[in-house]
Amino acid sequence: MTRHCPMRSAGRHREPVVLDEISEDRATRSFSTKAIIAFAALLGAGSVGTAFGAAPPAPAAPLEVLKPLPPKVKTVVKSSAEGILGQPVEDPKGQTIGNVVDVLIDPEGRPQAAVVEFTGFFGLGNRDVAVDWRALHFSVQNDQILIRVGLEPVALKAMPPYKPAAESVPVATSAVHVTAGSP
Amino acid sequence: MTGAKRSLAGLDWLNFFTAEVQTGFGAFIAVYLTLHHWTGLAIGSVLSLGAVVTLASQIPAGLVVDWMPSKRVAAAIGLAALGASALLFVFVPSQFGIGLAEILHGFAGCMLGQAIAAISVALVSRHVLGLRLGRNVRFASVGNGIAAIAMGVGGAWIAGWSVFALAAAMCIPAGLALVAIGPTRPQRDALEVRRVDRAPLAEIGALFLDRRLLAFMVCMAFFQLADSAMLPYAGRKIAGETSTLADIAIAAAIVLPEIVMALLSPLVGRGAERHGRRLILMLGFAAEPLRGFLFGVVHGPALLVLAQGLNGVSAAVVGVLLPLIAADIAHDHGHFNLTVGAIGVAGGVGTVASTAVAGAIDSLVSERAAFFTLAFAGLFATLLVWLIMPESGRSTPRGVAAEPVRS
Repeated sequence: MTRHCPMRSAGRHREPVVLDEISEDRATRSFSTKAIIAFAALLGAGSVGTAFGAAPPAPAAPLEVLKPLPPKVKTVVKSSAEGILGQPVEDPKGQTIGNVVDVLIDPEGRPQAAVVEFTGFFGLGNRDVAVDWRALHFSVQNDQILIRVGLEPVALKAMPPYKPAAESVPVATSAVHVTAGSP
Repeated sequence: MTGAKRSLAGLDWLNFFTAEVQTGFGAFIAVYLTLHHWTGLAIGSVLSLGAVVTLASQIPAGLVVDWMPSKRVAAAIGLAALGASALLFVFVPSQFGIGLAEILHGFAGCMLGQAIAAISVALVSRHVLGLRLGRNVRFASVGNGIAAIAMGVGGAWIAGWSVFALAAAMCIPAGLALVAIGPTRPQRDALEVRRVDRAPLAEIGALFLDRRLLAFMVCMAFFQLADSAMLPYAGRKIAGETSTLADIAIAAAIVLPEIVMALLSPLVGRGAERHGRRLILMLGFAAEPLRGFLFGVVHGPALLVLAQGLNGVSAAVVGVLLPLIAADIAHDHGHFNLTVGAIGVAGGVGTVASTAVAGAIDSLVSERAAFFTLAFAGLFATLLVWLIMPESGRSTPRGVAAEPVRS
C-alpha cells in the first residue's frame, strides 16, 4: 500500500495546493454548509439523509469532509515511478517486440510476471505471453524506463498464450527452456 | 450517358476510398490504445461501446437513409462523421475522445454503408444490380487490401496515429468520388413501384413478416457467429506458429482474402443473377465450416494463410448478396435501407455471440475446440440456407432482361 501511494500521487501532487486556496474562505463555506444541514433537518431529515447515502451520521461529520487531510506527499521523478501498462518491451537485440499489458502478482503483492502482448501486423496476430519478472531487465534511457527481456522472441512466441480465465499460468522463465513443437 | 458513366465511376471510387477509411477502424485500435497506456479493460470497454452503437444504429440508420430524399447527402454526412472520428483518434486519444469517436464511427459507418447500397440500387436497373454490387465489393476489397498494407506499415514503422491520419485523409478522395455521382432520383422510383397503399406501420409490419427476410436474418446470424471470431484466433495461431517473418505471414493472411474477393465478387454477382441467390449463398456459406475445420487441423503459416483465403469466398458472397437480397425484398415492400438494417442487426447479434462463445471455449477448453465450434456454426448456417431460405429473386435466363416477375 505505502509503496504504491507515492507512484499514484506523483501525477496529481497539485491537489493539496488547490485545497489550500479554497480553505481561505472556509469559514463562510462551513457556515452555509451548516445552514443547509439545518434546513435539511427541518425538512424531515430521515429521507434526505438516506438519499445522501454516505452522509447520515451526526451533522458535525460533513465539516470533516470539507477538508480531507492529504497523505504526506513526496515527489518522485518520473523515471523512478513509471506506469508500466503499455510500456514497450525490447528483445536482447533492442527490437521492440510488444507491450506490457498486465502485471501478475503473488498474494504479497509482489510482481511475479509481466503479461507481454506481442504485436502482430496491423493489430492482427497479437499474442499475450506471461514472462517471469526476473527475466525482465529494467534500465533508464533518456529519462524513460526501458524494459528488456532476456529471452529470444522466437522462443517466447512458441509458448502457450496467457489466458486470464485459466487455472494456471504458463510463465516464461530465464532458464533455458525448450518448448515441445518449437522449431 | 456520360453523366451516367461518371456516376458509376464515382460509385466505384466511393467504394474504394470508403473501404480505405474503414480499414483504419479495425483491429489496430487495440494496439493504438495500448501504446497510449490504456488498460485491457478500458480498451475492451470502448470497443464494446463501439460495437453496441454499431448494432443499435443499424435500424435507425436504415430509417434515416430511407427517409432522406438524397442518398448522396446521407453518404456525405456519414463520410464527414467518419473523418471526424478518425481525427479524434489522432488528436484526442483520451477516454472521452475515443469514446466519442467510437460512437460517431458506429452510427456514421452504418449510415455510409446504407447510403452506398441505396445509391447502387438507384443507379442501375434491377436485372444488373447483382453485377453492380459485385463491382462495389471488388473496389472495396482492393481498397481494404491496399489500406491494410499501407496502414500496417505506417502503424509499425512511423507512428500509431498515422493509421488514423491516413483514414481521415482518405475521406477527401471519397468525397470527390461522391461528388462525381449525379442525382439518382429518377431511377429511385424503381424501388417504390411495388409499394402498396398501406399505413406506414402496416407496411413495416408486412416487411417483417416476409419469410425471405426472417429466414435471411436467421441465416446471417449463424453465419456471423461462425465468421467473426475466426480471424483474430487465426491471426494468433499464425503468429504463434511462425518463428520468423510472422508479420509477412499475417499481412498475407489479411491481403489474400481481399484478392480472392476482388477476383470472385463479379462472378458472384453474375452467378446470383443467373442461378439464383439461394445456390450462391449456400456455396459462400459453405466456405466457413471448411475454413474453421482447416484452422483446427492444419499447421504452418502457408496452409493457415490459404485457409484464411477461404474467407474471401464467403465475404464476397455476403458482400454482394446482402444488399441484393434486401433489394429483392424491398422490391415488394419498399424500405430498402430498413431491410438492410434489420439484416445487419441479425448479423451483429451473431458477431457479439461469436466473440463471446469463441473466447469462452478457447480459455476453458482449447483453441482447436473454438475453431471446431465456429466451423459447426458455419455448417449449421449453410444447412439453414438449404432448409429455410427461399429464393428471393427470380433467376433470369442469360441475356434476358425481363421485367421483374413476382414470385
